[in-house]
Amino acid sequence: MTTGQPGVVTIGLVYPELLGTYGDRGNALALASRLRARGMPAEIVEIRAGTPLPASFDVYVIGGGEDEAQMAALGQLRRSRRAVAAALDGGAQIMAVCAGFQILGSTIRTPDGATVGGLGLFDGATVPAKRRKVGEVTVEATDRTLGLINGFENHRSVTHLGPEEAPLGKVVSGRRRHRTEGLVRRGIIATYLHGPVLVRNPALADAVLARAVGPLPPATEELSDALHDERVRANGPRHRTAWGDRRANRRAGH
Amino acid sequence: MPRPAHLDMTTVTFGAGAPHAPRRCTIPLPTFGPRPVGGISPRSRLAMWAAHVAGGWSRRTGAGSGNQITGRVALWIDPDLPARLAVGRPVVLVSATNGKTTVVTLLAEALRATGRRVASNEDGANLLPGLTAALASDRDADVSVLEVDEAQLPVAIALLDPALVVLGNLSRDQLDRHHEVRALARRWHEALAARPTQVVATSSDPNVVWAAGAATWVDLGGVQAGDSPTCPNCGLVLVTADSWDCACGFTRPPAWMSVAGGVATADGVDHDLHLDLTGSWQSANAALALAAAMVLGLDGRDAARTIRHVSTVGGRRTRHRLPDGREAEVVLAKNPASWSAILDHVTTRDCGIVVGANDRAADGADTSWLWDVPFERLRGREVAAAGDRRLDVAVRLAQAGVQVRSMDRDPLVAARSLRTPAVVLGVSYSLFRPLVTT
Repeated sequence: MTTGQPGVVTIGLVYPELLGTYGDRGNALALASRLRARGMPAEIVEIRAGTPLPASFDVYVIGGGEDEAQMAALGQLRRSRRAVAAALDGGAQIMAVCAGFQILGSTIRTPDGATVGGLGLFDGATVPAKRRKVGEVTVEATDRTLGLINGFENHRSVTHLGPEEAPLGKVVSGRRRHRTEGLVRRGIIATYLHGPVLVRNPALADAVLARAVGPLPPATEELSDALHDERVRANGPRHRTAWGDRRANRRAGH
Repeated sequence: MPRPAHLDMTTVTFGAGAPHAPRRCTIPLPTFGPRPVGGISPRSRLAMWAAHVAGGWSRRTGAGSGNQITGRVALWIDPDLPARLAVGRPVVLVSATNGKTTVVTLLAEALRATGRRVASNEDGANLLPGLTAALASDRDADVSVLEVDEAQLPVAIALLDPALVVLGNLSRDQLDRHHEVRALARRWHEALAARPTQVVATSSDPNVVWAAGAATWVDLGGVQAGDSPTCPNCGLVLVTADSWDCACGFTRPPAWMSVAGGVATADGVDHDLHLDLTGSWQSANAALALAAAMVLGLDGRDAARTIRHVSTVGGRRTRHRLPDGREAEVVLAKNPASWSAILDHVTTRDCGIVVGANDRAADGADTSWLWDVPFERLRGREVAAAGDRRLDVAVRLAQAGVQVRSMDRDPLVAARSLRTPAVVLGVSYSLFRPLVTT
């Protein structure tokens, strides 16, 4: 499946026809682009639905999808759980978004009240929220080197993390202000943000890659940086006047 | 509300014969002459008068085309108005993610060519106020042909009791508003199950086939299953190539009409659909309009002839001259489905392409769909980015290996940098609208 050439970073795009409703394949392209900017070879491999996941990828990109497609993907991924766990033990990274995020957790309660088990790769329960959350979101990352992370959320359920788990950051603008967003743990970065999130946030893409292949030399992609700044300017916490946000603004340099 | 006597004969019995057998039932249109006056109450009259005043004011002050405000005022005074206005004449509803306005225009023209008066919303105002305004605009019309927003179709079916529903594709579009394509299909399915109606529908889209249940099927060429990765009937992964055949028994129905290479074939008769409208994708819209016209009892040859010679849709001016004299063609490009048709169109021509995206209410606030468009096909072409979200467009194009020649909010300005004899502007709705109405 992969070329297996030494030095080539392999990015597996997991079941894009099931988990690719919101352009999340862009996350795989963004990772490859960040590597290219450093002169490092990268390969994107699409894993089609119905195929078991190999354990050999450096990064697994899992996107968002509709409810039924999510359940179909979960059913297939259960059969690959061993391979995924082995890959994580070997230092691989999973970048999961929305439905992909939910799948990795302990349980998912569906809107009709049934509870199904997830892959159990982190401690977290997904439950339906009162109302759907749709719109631009800016997150202040717990890891300060990542700065502000911007994306577009569109989901019906929320994921409550277990006490041992750490979020990606705190929402500073958008519908879920002051709540936490996403998850960071060994081997996994997960979020509800589309956009695609790694396209809009080159620093987050670099963090995923650094965790998979080790420290990276600095690189700039002018267009991507301009997009990140423009999105944060348009939707970031600058417009809010709450006290906590003013502090966030100062830290973000606004 | 009771149906008028002359419409009773249009009632179609379901459950007869195999559900997926190719079939075509004809709805006889009412003959000309006075129609029974529907229950127009004093309140409805007041609603229409007030709406007329408000619409006139809106047009005079330049606030808009006036149809939205007309409909809103009317609905505010009399919420039953659309239902009352629909009584006494057959209503045809057209819904789809792409091509609604074109199908409505072509079908309305085919009907007009037979001498019938047609009320329609070719201006694209497809929410309930727009439908109300269109119905009120000509109360002596013989038939109403209305395009309906995908999400409002269930309401429109319940309210207007349509004689015919025409369904095109369902694909990802404005997901910030519609959320899930499958959820839309489910709502269509429920609405049509609750109020069985004659349906003309594409047999190329599994979601639509399932939503329609039984219909006069039109094969628009191939299968568009990008947004039905799972079976809409049972939820299992749906394997699609030229057709599909799920373990639960959900299969692709045989089509009554099929379109290929600009020719629509039904009952062994070929109808030429090489149109005056540009764009190879328009033959699919034309086939839906032709099938609907034939189900309504029109002669296929006459209808096809009229449809072929329609040259503008909804009064849209789609050709512009750039300051240097080159021609720029404006195309609505609002989602991956429209882009895939446009990419087919432009790859056979020597033209530059402007990719324009806004994120206003009419476009959808989420532009991540740009990443589901195979822009890789534009490699080596002259391409520019436009719109409020031109940076998103530019990054997408750059990662597709496409060199972006320039960026500007205005697509016509962005087009100037392209060194090709002609330019195609593929732009989202709020960029498209002002370009084609000036």
